[in-house]
Amino acid sequence: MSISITGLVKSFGHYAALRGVDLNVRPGEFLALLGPSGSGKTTLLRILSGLEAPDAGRLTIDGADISHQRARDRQMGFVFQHYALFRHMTVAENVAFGLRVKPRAQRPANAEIGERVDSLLRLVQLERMGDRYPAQLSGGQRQRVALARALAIEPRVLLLDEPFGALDAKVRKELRRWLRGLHDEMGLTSIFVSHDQEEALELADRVAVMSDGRIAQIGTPLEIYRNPANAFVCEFLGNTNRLDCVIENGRAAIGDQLFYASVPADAGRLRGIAYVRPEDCELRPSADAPGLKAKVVKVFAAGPTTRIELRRLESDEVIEALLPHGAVAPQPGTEVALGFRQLRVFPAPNT
Amino acid sequence: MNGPITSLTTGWRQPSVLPGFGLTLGYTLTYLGLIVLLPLAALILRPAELGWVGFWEVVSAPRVLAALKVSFGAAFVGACINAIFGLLTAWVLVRYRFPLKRLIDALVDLPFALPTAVAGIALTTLYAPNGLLGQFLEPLGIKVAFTWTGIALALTFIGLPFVVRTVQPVLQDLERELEEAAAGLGATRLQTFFRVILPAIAPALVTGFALAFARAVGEYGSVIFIAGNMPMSTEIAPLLIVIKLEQYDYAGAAAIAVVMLGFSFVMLLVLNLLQRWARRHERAGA
Repeated sequence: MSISITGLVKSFGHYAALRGVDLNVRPGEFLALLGPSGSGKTTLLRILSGLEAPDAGRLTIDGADISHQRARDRQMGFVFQHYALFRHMTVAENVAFGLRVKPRAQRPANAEIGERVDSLLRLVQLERMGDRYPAQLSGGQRQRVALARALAIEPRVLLLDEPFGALDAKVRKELRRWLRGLHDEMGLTSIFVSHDQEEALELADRVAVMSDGRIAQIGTPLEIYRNPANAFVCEFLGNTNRLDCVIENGRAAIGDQLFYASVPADAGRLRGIAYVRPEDCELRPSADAPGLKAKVVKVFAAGPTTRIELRRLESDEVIEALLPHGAVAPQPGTEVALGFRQLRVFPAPNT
Repeated sequence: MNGPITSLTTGWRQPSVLPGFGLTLGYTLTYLGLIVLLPLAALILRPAELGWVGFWEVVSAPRVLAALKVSFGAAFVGACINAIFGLLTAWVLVRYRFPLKRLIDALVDLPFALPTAVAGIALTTLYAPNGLLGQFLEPLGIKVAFTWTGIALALTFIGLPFVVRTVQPVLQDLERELEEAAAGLGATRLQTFFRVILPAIAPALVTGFALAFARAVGEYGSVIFIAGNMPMSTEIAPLLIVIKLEQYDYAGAAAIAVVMLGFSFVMLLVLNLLQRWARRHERAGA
């Protein structure tokens, strides 16, 4: 199912949640809406599902306008962060709900509903839990019930609002891999909301980064990680060091060091911010080598990579560097020269 | 001597931040015994003077049976009306924001606070054939004051707060997402209400109903003014008890009271079982 969203605007009183969102979702795609809280991602998802009505804009599915369709007619599977399971119903009754509330003419026979529920419970690996109540299940199991319940209506699109947000780290990781497998297996089109960039980058085909009611950038995880379109995306995705600089003639000056920057050469002289990912930092052992002068503060060697915290001598800015496994780490207290394999420079916002 | 006691206390003791299980349980039992059980025991012992045959003669008298029917029937109808409109009131108070909401919220408690006799006199003045409302109802052939309808009305009046105040907090805690989930799954508004919301608040609604019913069965003050107190038709059981007391027929009064007590006990037991059933999913979690 292809979804097209144009010019979506939504305010709650004086608060503008969406300020003009355009988005196209391709059939079979797994799309992540990523952003900090208050960026409008959940509002966008709720408008898609029909739970919220937009102030302006158009929604189409496969070319058909659904902007004014009611939630119950949209046939979209919605999965909530806190599951929203019906507590007074058993697991099987929960899954069957969407089938039982169908108009009599479309409602499958009882036996057929039973079979569908069984096969859905098998799908979410809860075959023997049908008679239990939600209160008897763990968080991960509850979310799988919620998923089975959403899939029961054969949704045109699966919408997931922070589906793993309430789960602990290990379950979350397992469940998201499993969900990705399910998406591919069933040929679903899914949109999920997350504020966890690791989750979004790992799971999605494309990621739409949202900020302040707009889409800041949309692209594959690699694209947005490697080529962030603006300072917000750069800062939001992954760990990054932020250094003040001056942009002049297509170069960025940090302290007394000059770096090539991808800003227009004719922009004149302006203040900028340079972003450097920790893995792009290069430590040159001698303090006389070219690069920013810095002092090693702490070394964290436990883990797959070695993390080093440095402090610039000139400005006291703290910089984090990651060395690959096996690299020789300098001792705390030594002075080093810092080089950057890659850095992104954006003009500083006018304040 | 020491052995069994220590084993008993260790078996019952539950470690907690606030200790005092023995003390509080002791007070509770003493208190309940003095306040509730002792008078009830006295009540049950009193009709024993009559013997089985005498007891049966008192309670099977047509006038007594009619009074019991009026009391329980009107109380049941009143509680049913309260269950419906109390739920509606609670819903409006929880779900919507509107001017004077706090005032209306406070208004709900008035039947609690008002002396019941005052309520009875007010209702009677309103609904008497020449009363504020009664004068318009009379030509339509609707008689409220001094009829069974009037009794049910008074019992509805005093029972309202019970339903509203038990349902309100549960409704408040009900997640909106449940309704959204139901709508997303294709449920109509009616289906959402009857399949999702109502089962969730049913235990509270049953409690509210039981409280309103129990209160209405024993109600005296507000009813006697509006009831008309015609034997065999609009005489309530509590009034009959008072009449018997005035005739120094203490055993007869107690006999009627025992029947009311027994019937109320059975009703409350049934409602409790109903509630247990409605809460079965909660027990499953434990």
